[in-house]
Formats: sequence, structure tokens, C-alpha cells
Amino acid sequence: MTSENLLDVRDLTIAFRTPRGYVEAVRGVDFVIRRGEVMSLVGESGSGKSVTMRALMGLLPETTRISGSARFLGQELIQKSGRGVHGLRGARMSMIFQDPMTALNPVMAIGAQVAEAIRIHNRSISRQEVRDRAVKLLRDVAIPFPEQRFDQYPHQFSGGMRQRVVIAMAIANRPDLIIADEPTTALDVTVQAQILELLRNLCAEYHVGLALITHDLGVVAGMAQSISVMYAGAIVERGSVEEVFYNPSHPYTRGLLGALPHLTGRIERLVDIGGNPPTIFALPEGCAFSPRCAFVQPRCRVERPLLRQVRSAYAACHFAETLPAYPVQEMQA
Amino acid sequence: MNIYRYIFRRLAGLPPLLLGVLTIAFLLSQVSQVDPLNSILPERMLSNPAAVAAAKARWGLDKSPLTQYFVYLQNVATGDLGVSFRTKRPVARDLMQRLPATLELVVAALLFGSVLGVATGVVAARFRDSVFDHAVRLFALFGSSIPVFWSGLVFLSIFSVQLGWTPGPGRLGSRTAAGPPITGLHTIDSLIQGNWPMFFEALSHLILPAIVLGWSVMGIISRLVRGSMLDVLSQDYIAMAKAKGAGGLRVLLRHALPNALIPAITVIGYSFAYLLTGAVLTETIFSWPGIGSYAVESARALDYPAIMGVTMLGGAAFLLTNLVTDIAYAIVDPKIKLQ
Repeated sequence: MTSENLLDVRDLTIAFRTPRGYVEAVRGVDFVIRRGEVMSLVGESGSGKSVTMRALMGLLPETTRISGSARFLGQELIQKSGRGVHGLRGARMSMIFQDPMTALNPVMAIGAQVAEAIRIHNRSISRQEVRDRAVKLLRDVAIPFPEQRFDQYPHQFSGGMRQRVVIAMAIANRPDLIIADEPTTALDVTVQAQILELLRNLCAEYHVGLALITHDLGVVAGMAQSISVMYAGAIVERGSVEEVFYNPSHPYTRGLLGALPHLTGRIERLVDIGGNPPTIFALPEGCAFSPRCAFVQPRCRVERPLLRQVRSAYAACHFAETLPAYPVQEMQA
Repeated sequence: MNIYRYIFRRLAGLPPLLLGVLTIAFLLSQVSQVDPLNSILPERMLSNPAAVAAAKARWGLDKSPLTQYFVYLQNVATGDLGVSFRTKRPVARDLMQRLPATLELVVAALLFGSVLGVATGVVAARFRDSVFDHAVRLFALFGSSIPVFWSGLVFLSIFSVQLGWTPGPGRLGSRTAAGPPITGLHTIDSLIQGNWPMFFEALSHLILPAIVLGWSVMGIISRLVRGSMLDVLSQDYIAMAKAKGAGGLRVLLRHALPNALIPAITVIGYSFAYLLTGAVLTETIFSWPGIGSYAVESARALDYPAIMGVTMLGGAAFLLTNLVTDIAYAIVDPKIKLQ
């Protein structure tokens, strides 16, 4: 595996226009995805994980204010006009959406939608060849009878099968990076496992970098090499999955892991993080997590902690080194 | 399901529905306190018992209402809609003569209204809250709120009288004789015959009333398409299309528009059926010899057979338009199956 940086995001800040002025939904995010690596972005709803990735795909409204840098294959994605991203989008980088029930155009046949993904980036190939390649893609994502299914419409497919179609479109042009926004959240548990395995195999086969947005830590453990934990629009902890899972340095990460049921060990009441995440309209002074933090100190309420190296990972906590030792626990796989 | 079988089955369902329409129309005519003899006989003859008896016998008014009803139904079943009190000609022939004029006007108006309505709706949604969006909103509001008799007169005075761009009212100039009717639509007939001067004359007469009438439906269509476009543009599959690398125009026309058009189909269909008998004001202002003006003239003259005929035509128009919109739905939306 090469260690070439596929995607290098630095100080990404995203502000939405609201009736109350511009509001920052993402505040200075940095991360790197290497070729062939699965990086997971974890956080609660509203923590800014989807917004971050949608910004990279150029899917945010035109009125959104985006600053910072995101270099992908040596090209800057964050530009004044979104033109440059156009050729990359769908070809070198693609996206899998959360809800397969709404991600497919209901009045277009499945095959036409897959074929379109190929066609847009390769105008010179013949209609028949596009069809053949689209059928092969449907077969690659294990859709039975792809020739017959080609002319059917989304409503004739189950949720799991639709997500396979979405994946087929995402891999249509052999991209270098796939962004998967909660790809299994809307699916049945049994189907979830199948879709994850399909994704894992495809990524390994094509050596694709995968940005996996999820709030399911079990999925992270089974899929990803690195993890970035987001809270209130900022990354609060980042590192290899092993380091972060065994030795979380940020109280928020500890809270997330503590809220997981253990397969081994005694069955006891799950520990939750008290309180609710702040809204982006009224972030607390200092550390955004301070109102909910069990280890909060006076300094936390005035000074915002920046992401800094803590052991072999990174954490945004003033007291990462002095927190009580974290009990070693079993990893879920 | 086979589409022809579906159409056949729907058509087979028409007669019972029309029977209902006719029955209600007949009942209303019976409830009305106006004696049709008033319109059949000149006023001075009404006091002449012999003339009254003769007229009653001639028009079947001496029979009981129930007998009249069944006789009428029997005649309708054979295509005989009776004879007009006013024109003294078969109602069916009157309608057939008037229908092409109305069809030509309504189709042209709907074409204008839908094309402009859909186009402005799409652009207004794409550039939401822009100057264009607000301008379209205003234009649409004027179209649907200014009464046709006023906009018709204003347009005539501007474009025909002052600017002289369009001819005056009527389907053709007073010195032009229409050729033998093929479809009865002057524009189509002249095209079939290759008669270009005639085509342009018919078109120039058609354009103003079509715009006036079309403007009134354009507003609703534009607002409706804008709303459904905004809804569709926020859907995941639009983001998906962008993520695939589809360009702005492709996203708008290939992905968003077909989904946004589904609700517009109903409105366009109903506008058609409604205008077929409801274009009275436009037809009157522009001296357009169509069904609408025929309906008004018949109502004024208490011409019951003609009124019944127009009612039935209107009913049939609604039912047929319903069928056509249902088929259009099935073509546009794969989730809808004809059954």
C-alpha cells in the first residue's frame, strides 16, 4: 500500500447563509485520506460530517461560504467557482448516499441511471458498449439477472438492491475516492452486513480510498483503518482506529465508546453522554464539549482547545494527558 | 396491461357517465320555470291556442316529462341531439360546425400557456428569489387575475387597432372564404392544402385570442411547476445526479423536470376540458364562432336542445381528457400502472 495522500483537507470552514446571518457548520477541519485507505468520520447528527463531505463533492448550495483547502489528486477542490471540480466529480471521486429509497431518480430506468454515470465522463463510446458496461457493473454489485433488471425502475427494487445500484454508479468510472454517507443506516441489519462487505471488497479490489461517514462505531471497527471524531463542526480526535478505540484521549470519544454495548462482559446499563450537542447557532465559549464534559476545568470554558498530538493520535482537549486511564476494552468487529 | 384494452375499457365506461350527465341536465331543465314555448313561438302567437298546440305537438312538448326523457335518450343513442329551437337545425350539426373553431383556439392557447408556463416555472425555480423569479410571479399573477374580457379588449386595441400587427376579430378576414373543411381547423387545413397565404391569415387571427386565453392558464402552470421543481430539486436523487458529474442543464431538464411535470399534467388536462366550453368571453370578444359563444347564445334563447347538447359535449370532453391525462401519467411515471 502506498502512503500517497489522496485527499488532503486543511482548515476547512463552511458557513451557511441563514436569516440570522452566516453560521459556521464546520470550523477548521483537517484530515488526510491515503490511497486505498478507509477513513471513517464519526459523530452525532449535526456534527458536520455530511456537510464536510458534501462540500468536497460540490453539493452545497451556491450561497454557502467555504474556506480552507482540500487537495485531491493534486487539484484544489475549494475554488471560487466550482468549475474545476466538475470533471473530477463522478469520475475520480464519487458518492454513495444514505437513503437508497430517495437517491435514485424514480422516473428513470435503473440501467439508464447507471449508464448515465459512464456516459457523462466518456462520450466517445457506443451505446451498446455503455449498456454492456452498465450491465457488468450491476453484476459486479451482485444484482441478480442484471440484463432483465436493466430496464426496471427504482420502485421495483428493494432498499438493499437500490443501494447496490447506487454503489454501481459510484464505482462506474473506477474512482480514486468514494465518499459513503451513512451507506447502511437506512437498511435492514442483515442487508447492512452484505452492503458493507460489498463495499469492503470493491475498495480492496480497486484500491479505492473510502471516506465512510457513520455514527455506527461497530461499522468503523469492521471497516476503517483511521478515524476522525467530529463534534460541533470540528474534529475532536483523530488517529488509527486501534489507537482511538483502545486509548481514546478525548472525553467525547470516551463517551461515544462508553455508550456501546459490549459483547463480552457483564450486561449493565449503557452509559450515555449527558445533555445534548450544542446548536451551531449558540456554541459555548471555549471547548464546545465543555458543558457536557465530566472532566471539565475552568480553562475549558474560556479557551478553545486545538487538535494536537497526544500519544500516537491527535486530540482537541487541554487535559488529554491527565485524564484518568481509560479501561481497556474489547473491540467490536 | 395492454394499453389498447385499457383505452377500450375506459371508453366503454363513458356512456353510463354521459347518461348521468344527461339525466341531471334534463332534470334541471324540468325544474326551470321557463316555458320553452317562449323561445319557440313569437310573442304574439303565444295567445293563439291553435298555434301553441301545433308547436307543442311538433316539438313533443305535449308528452309527459318521462316520455320526453326517454324519447330524448333514444334519439341521443342514435346520434340525434334534436333540433335547435333557435337555429332550427340539428344540434349535432351545429356543434360539429362550432367545435373545430374552439378546438383550434383552445389547443393554441394551451400550447402557448403550457410551454411558457413550464419554461418560466423551471427558470424561476432554478433562480429562486432572483429578479426573474419575481417578474414571473407578477406576470403569472396578472395572467390569472386580469379578466379575459378586459385583457382581450386591451390587446385588440393595442395590437390590432394602434399597432396594426394583428388583424381584428374573427377566424379569417371578411373577404377570405374558408376552403372545404378537412379538419375544420383553418391552420391545419391550409397546411394540408399547401395554401400558405391562407395559413398565415388563419394564424394571424388565431394568435391574439390564443395569447389572451393562454395567459390566463399560464399563470397557474408556471406557479405549479415552480413549486414542484423546488421540491424536486431538494431531493437526494438530484444531489446524486450532480455527484455523478451531470451538468446543471442536464440535472434540470433530464432529472428534475420529468418529476416536476407530473402534477402539471392534471392542471393542463383540466384546463383543456374547462376551456372547451368555458372560453365564452374570449370567443365573444374575438367574434370566434366556437362552442362557448354557441352556449351563451343558446342559453339566452332558452334553446333547450342546444343547451343539452353543449352540456353533453362538455361532459364528454371532461371524461375524455381524464382518460388522456391518466394515460399521460402512466407514460411519465413508471410507478403508475394502467389497470
